[in-house]
Amino acid sequence: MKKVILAVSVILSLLAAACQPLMTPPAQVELTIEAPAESPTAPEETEAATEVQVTPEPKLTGDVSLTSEHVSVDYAKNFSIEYGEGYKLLTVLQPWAGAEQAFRYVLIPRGASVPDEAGNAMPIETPVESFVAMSTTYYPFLEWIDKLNTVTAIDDPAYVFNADIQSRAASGEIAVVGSGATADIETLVALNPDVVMTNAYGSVYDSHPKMIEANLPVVINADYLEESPLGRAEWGKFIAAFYDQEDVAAVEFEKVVSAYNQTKQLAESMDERVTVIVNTDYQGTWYVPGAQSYPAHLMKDAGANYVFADQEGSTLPLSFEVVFDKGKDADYWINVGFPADKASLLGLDSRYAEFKAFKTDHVYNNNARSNANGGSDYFESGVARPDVVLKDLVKVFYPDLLPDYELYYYQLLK
Amino acid sequence: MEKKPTAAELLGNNLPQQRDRLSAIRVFALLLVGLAVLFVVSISLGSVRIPLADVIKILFGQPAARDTWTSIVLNFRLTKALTAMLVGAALSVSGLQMQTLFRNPLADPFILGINSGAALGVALTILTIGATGAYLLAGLGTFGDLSLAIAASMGAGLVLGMILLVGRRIKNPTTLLILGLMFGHATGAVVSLLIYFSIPERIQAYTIWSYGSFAGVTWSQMRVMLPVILLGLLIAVFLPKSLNALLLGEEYARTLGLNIARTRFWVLLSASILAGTATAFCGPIGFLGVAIPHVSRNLFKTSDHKWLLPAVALLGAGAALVADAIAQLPGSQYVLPINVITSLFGAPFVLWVVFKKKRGATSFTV
Amino acid sequence: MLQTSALAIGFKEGRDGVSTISQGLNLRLNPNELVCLVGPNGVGKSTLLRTLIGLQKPLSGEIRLLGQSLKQFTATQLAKSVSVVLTNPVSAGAMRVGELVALGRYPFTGLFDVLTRNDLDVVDQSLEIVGAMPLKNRYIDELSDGEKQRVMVARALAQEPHLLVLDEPTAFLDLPGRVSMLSLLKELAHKQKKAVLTSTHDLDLALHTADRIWLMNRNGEISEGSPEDLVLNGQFGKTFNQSNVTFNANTGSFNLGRPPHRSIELHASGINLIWTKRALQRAGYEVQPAGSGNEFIVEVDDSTRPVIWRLRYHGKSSEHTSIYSMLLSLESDI
Repeated sequence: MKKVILAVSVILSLLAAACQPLMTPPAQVELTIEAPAESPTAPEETEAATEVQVTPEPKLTGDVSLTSEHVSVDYAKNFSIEYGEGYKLLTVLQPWAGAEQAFRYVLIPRGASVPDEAGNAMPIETPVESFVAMSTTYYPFLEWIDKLNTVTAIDDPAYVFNADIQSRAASGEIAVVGSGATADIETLVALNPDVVMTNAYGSVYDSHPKMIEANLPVVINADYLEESPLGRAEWGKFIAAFYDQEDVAAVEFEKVVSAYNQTKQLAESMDERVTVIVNTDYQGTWYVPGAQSYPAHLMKDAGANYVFADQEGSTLPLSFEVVFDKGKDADYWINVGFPADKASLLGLDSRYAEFKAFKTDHVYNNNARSNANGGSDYFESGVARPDVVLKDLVKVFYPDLLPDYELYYYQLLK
Repeated sequence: MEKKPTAAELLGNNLPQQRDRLSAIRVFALLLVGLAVLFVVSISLGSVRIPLADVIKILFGQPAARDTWTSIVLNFRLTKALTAMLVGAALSVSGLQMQTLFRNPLADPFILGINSGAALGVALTILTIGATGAYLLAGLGTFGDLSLAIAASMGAGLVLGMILLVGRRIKNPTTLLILGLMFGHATGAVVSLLIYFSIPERIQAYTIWSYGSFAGVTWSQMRVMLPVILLGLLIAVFLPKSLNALLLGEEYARTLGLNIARTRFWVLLSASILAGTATAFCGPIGFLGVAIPHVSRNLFKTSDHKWLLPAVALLGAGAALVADAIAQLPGSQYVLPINVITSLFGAPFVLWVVFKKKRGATSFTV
Repeated sequence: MLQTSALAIGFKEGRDGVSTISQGLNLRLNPNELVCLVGPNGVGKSTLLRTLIGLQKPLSGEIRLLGQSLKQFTATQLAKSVSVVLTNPVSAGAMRVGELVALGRYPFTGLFDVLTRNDLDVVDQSLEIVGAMPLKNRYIDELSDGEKQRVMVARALAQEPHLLVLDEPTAFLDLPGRVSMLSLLKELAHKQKKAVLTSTHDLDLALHTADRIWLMNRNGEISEGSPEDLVLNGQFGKTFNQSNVTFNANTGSFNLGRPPHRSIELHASGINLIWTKRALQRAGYEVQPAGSGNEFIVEVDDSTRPVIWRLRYHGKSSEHTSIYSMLLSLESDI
């Protein structure tokens, strides 16, 4: 009897130990595919097909009342802006995958008192004058409203693409505070910023718990959870709201929307659809995005048949075999990670040579604009310009549709 | 003095004793057959359903119904099965050698910190130079897909070198053991430090490496892995006599004429080559090295390394194949990490074996 | 067989320090002889043994085995000439007695440790000699300590040595085990014509069984000779005497050295005389024979059943049916 009890308890403890690796939150996995990692330079708007005119209200320098026109949130599903009497209520519905509570922020003019309707939302005084950016995806949106110069600190300059931020960080004008458990809270507190914006994953790597403890004005940005490309770009309004410039952001956003839709319509006209695979294998597992994912939306809107388009979920760990079986004959292969040429890709695994896309030189990677450390602008300004990304993809899949267009984020692997 | 003994006589003289004679041969035969069966099963199972008939056809060079299948069987499953067998055998032999050398039933191939050395090499590559760095090396032709393996081997080699160097001066095997443990802790601490200062994506890449996988090895990598593991096994083939002498402890071994320092050197070399190579190509795979020697001792009821060595090699190869088959979750598209499977299924099995028979080989003379 | 000249044994300590245990040793071991090495704890008996068999380096001097210097033996040659049994019982799982004894053939088998018919025969013979043949198929862990040590002797015999050296082989054995071990060793020396050297704490057994004794004292000096010679010339006493323990040359055993504080007269005969005398001596009395005129007298009357011990002093007398109660009475009346 004793032996049985001993055996059972040992087995239970082994089970518990073995399940540790399985408890990595799925949000971690998402990160490899979709988390932005670079800084932007403001992309030029080469084609703005139809322009939506919005007459901006003259901006008041006095800060008694909110100065922006009200905007609506149409594509993004993960945040909302509500307007009340003398205040704005920003809600981030899911700050990270699996979060149980939404995070709410009440934006009030300087000196105003917090309205009762705000409840337990965190108050932030606007317009914000100093901004700490813990992710690179915020830079393009700040550029929309010409407020990039308000950035006083960032987490890590290594993967930043935006030249302005890079140089200001190098010169010391912008402080570098790290992230996660090793974030430099003291410097942050000394800077006394108006807003510290960060992403969160609900894991031990999050920066915000320590910051909240230090009473910093932390705002969680969850743009990476948006599936739809336009939805992600719409987060520009979220950021702009802190500057009372969400209407300006809305103008830029509308340009993006119409350009995007124009390209999308173009692609829809194709009868013959190409097939596509994405990403690469790692140690026998190939993480592929599912139907509810950012890349899947892009490919669909670009008129391509993504080989795993019918797989539910956002990211799936499949065996190399399965991807090989289904994707060996795909016409195109995009988003292959760090390699910049075919030899490097082949160096990862010699079996990639068997893929049709490899053999026919149809492998494209989204690292055409990278900084010295491999940080790609695709993950930085690309977030704000899905219209350009879509155009790139359509150019890749159906080059004849856009004869004069040149790839911006993507490059052919030679 | 006497007529030359026949092979059968020699075999008869050297079997684990009288009573076990027939059962030992029987068990060996069973093992070999079982391994062959497992090999075929492993190649037929996978996320993609391929009928057995086609698998056999492909193995004999015939074309199959779809040519993705041919490629899958030859370039994915065959390499994976071969890797599993080699690594399973390598880790088990290494574990056996460590257990005897240190007279410690809990010793495993990584007890001297070889594992941590390899992990350090990999961590330095992935977490600092970054996946970029590894891919930078990728442009160097054959080195490309070996870059992680090379980093791991260098790390393991560094720790091995230190152990061999310091080990010459140390008499007591327990002291050597403690030394190895401390090396392991030290390198592990450096790895933790690297993780602490790293970003989530890189940490994830490192974590996935640490789960262990047989599937990442291609034929071009096999060109390096196979000969090195065979080298380690070759050295091991000459060691059973010395290992047997060590069973009674170092003092008795010396009075039997054993050169302790030389034995220690060769055993450590063989065990480290085997464990280091396995880890370099497949990540750290735990549990097999500890468990398989115990299971073998129970199965064959002997501590004679002449029999244990081939026994653990066969059993280890088979166990690895089984673990991989389970990890592939046949029928589903998902894959589980090897380490989870070996621990989850292995531990209760060993417990069962040890409790079932008292002849658990759980004690050694120190 | 084995000869030392001007041998010095000891340890290197620290960088240049040397701790000498003995020096100037000129010892001999001959075939057909059982030599027991005795001495108080910690004098260096183990060091001496280990130096003689080559496990430890001598500080200076020479050891010659079979006419050849020990230094010139290869490890294998040495293993075929000398084998050893150590103190601690071994433990090894999943090993049968036969396999363990077969380990003794290590110096004889080839690279792959293949046993020939001859090897197996030697193993069987070794088991027969020590009387462990019935144990051949048993697992080591199942044996008692006494059986284990026997098996270790068999293993040592399987090496077909000329010299067999044992270091306290009886330390963990009970009395019958110790007796049988020592008589086995004697047989090995005489019947198998080996030179056998063993260290032991069983002085009594050593005095009864050894052909020669090496007596090692606290200064590292070794006197050797037949047991009786060493007793008669007082070496035994000198080596072992301590403040409260003395070696009694008459009995060949040790007495607690409390000087007798009284004397008493004993009237008894035969076995009762012997044991009553021992009891009285144990109680600290000097025992005088009948007719000494002592005021305390003990009379043993063995004409009756049960035997009666009569204690007489100062005109009083008491009768007891056991030595124990007689002693109690004696003590309480003093």
